[in-house]
Amino acid sequence: MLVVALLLTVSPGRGLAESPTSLEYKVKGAFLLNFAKFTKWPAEEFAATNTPVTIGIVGEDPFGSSLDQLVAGETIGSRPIVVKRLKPADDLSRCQILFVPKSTPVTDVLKHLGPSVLTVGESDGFLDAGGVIRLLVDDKKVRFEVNLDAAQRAHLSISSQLLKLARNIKQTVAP
Amino acid sequence: MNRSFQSFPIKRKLMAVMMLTSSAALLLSCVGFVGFQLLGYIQNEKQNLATLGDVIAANSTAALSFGDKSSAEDTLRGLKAEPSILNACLYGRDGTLFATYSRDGSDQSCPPGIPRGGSETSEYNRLTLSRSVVLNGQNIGTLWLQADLAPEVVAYLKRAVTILLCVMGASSLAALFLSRKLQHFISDPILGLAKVARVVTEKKDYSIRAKQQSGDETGLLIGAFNEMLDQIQRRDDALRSANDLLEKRVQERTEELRASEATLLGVFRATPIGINIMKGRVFHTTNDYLTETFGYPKESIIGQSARMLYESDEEFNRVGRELYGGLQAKGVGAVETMLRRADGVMRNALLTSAFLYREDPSAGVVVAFSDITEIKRAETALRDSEVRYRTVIDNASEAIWLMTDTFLECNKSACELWACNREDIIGHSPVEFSPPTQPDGKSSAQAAKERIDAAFGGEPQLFYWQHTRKDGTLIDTEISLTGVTIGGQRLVLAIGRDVTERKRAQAEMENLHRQLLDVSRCAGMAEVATNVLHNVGNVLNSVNVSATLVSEKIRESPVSSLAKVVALMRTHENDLAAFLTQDPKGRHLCDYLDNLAQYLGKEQTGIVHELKSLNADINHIKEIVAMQQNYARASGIVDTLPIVDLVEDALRMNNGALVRHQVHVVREYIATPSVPVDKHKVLQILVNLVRNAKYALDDGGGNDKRLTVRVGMDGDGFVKISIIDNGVGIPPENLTRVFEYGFTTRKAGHGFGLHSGALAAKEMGGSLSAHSDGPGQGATFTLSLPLHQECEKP
Repeated sequence: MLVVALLLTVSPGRGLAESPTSLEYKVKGAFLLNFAKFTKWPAEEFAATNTPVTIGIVGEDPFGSSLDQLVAGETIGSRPIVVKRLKPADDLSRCQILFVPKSTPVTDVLKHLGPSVLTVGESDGFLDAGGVIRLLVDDKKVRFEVNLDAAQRAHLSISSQLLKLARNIKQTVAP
Repeated sequence: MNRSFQSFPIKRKLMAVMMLTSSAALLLSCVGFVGFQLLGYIQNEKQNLATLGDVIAANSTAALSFGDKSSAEDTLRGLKAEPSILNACLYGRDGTLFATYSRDGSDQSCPPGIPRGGSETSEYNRLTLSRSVVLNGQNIGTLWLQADLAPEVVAYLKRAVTILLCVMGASSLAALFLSRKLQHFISDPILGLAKVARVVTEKKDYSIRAKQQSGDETGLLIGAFNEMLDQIQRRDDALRSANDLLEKRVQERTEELRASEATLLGVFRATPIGINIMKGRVFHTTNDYLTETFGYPKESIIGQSARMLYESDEEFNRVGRELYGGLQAKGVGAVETMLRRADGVMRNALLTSAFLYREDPSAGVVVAFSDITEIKRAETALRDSEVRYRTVIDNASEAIWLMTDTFLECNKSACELWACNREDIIGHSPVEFSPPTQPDGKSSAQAAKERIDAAFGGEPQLFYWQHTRKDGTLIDTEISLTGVTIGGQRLVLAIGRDVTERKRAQAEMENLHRQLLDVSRCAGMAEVATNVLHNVGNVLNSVNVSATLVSEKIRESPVSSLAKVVALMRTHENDLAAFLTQDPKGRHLCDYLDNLAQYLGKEQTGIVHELKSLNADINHIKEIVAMQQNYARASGIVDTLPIVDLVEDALRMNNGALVRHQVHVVREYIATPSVPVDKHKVLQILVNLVRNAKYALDDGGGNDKRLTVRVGMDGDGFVKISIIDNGVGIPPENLTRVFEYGFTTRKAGHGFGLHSGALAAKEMGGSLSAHSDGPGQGATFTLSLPLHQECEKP
């Protein structure tokens, strides 16, 4: 509830005034949560109807405790949301959403990744490296781009509503 | 308007009603239809709006979640395709306006604050809708839509009214056409009826009838109208005839009254009661009775005091008191008195009086006189008669009483019969005067009831009854009961007689009778003996005849002549040869002896014949005697014999007599079967009948004495033997007496033969009957014997 209120305050015209980084990551955390809501994973990904949706953060955590506060009590359907901090050497395929901060080298992470993981990154070449969604800040607003080919490869179905909001959609084959 | 409509002709009214009705119905249905369509249209619009709201809300979830205002406005702008949508507003979760859309571009059309989620309101020509925007089960915002219906509805109504007007115009034309055609069915009969009604009213002619064409209410109305006319016509006729009748009746009644008055006057004059109106005992008005019965001319009575009719002042005053005294109190007075006739004879009279008008005594008193002399005389006669009857009844030796189930009336003898007073009898039941049971063992009460009921039922009863006297002694009575009706009441008249003495006498008589029977049995034996002697006597006659004949023949026998021949031969003992050859006497001697021998031989034959007959007679006697012995032993010997043999025997027994008297016997036998008979009895009867016939022939004295014996059968199983002679005959008065004991017409007869014959025939189950057409006409005696003897043994 608080998160949504926050999200709505982070609106165009308001700027990232006093603590730009923490505010930026609060919004990005909210984006992560919203991505989970507009994405469908293959049914075999979850063992039961209440199997939690796991958001993994590989490498250095830029969110601090804000992400944990955000997902506390939130559910996707009947599934609770769990945040896990991981190292690049860990088995990253266990996550449904994997956030790759700027500080983590992208190619190493994506190389060993299995399917059915929604990868979200920040670096410029993230989509070209095979990532699914790249978050960016434009005109003091958080925006995102989508690599639909990568999403299809990972057997993920992304809502058209979400796609409608994307700044850019990378797709080799015309839909 | 209303009044002018009322005065329309019915044709127009009908058409107007039909047109108005059809138009109103059409209009209503059209309005209903349009309204229904409109409602449906609005409903449809609502539905569309809801769908639209759902789509927009769904498409706004992502924009709302990511706070992407421009994307949300893009989505809302898509509503341009729907021209009816005026405004669209999207609110955030906290109620802040997130994105708006307005057809005319203004911004102020969104309501402040969050409209209630999901509700739809419709106001005037606007439709509004709010929808919550839901993501993942969470309310993330609200969408508000407003649509304008007006242009659509106006266009729709325009179309509908145009069509409605066209349809109404067309249907009115059709209705006009149809009503013009159809109204005749209703208006024509009514117009016809109205025409007839007008004619009837104007002409007062009730014989006109309206034509009845249909069976509906109009038809019924016409029928009822016609019926009404019928009734009016009938009533008219009835009224007229009633009027006539009434006049006639008044006339008749007047006649009747006149006749009645005349009759009453006639009655007053001619009533065989003197009717007088008196005022102060003076004759005021009188009818003819006094004149005719008492001989006073009318003019000599009117105005006179009634005193002239009485013998004395005392009587006149007494009658006055009696007649007028009770008048005030009771309204009527009555008295008997003697009145003097004009010729001076006194007559019994009954006077009754009443006021002419009760309320006005001064108007006079009606006094009715009637001469009751004859009635008085009859009364006296009746009383005398009753006394006589009572005397007769009371002095009758029989007890006489009347009863139902109890005694009502009885005479003196009845009191004597039961040895009690009249009071002990009247009102009591006859059972009280009877022992509990009668000699035959029956209950007295039961038996008495049966007898009385039978008498009530009209069957006269005569029976013996045992009664109990008051002192308890039993008496035997002979009672006769007869049902009688006296004064309409059914009663039983009983006559009783004490027969106790007679019963005793009867018992004595029965005893005597028994003795007499014994005596008569002895007498019967004597009778039989007489019969036997008679029969023996008859045979003895034959024996006597035979004996006399034999003795005469022997006496006259020429035996002495033989002695003379012997004497003559003795004288010529020495010269017998010479004598026989030479002497003339001697020469004739041989011839003489020869003749003598011949004569003696004949004589012997005759005597032997007679002796045989004698022998037969004696045998008959023996048989008679034997029969008597049989009879005495009370059993006849029954043989089955040919009846003709018996008849022949009977003829033979009388043969001598019949030959002597030159009776010619004719036999007419028809073959008959053998009959079981007591031979001697039949023979006796037949011998007796033949002999009687012979006597009758002798007495008849004619030259042609003929005896016919006829044997035959009749149809009833009887053999009939008839002995018919043409002799002296029997006079009718004697025909019934010939079989009586002791009746005879002959000097030597004893009147026993036919009597015993008839008895014997009866004993054998047959009969003996006599028939004669009168003196000189001969007689027929017929013996009937049954073919089969009934066992009639004593």
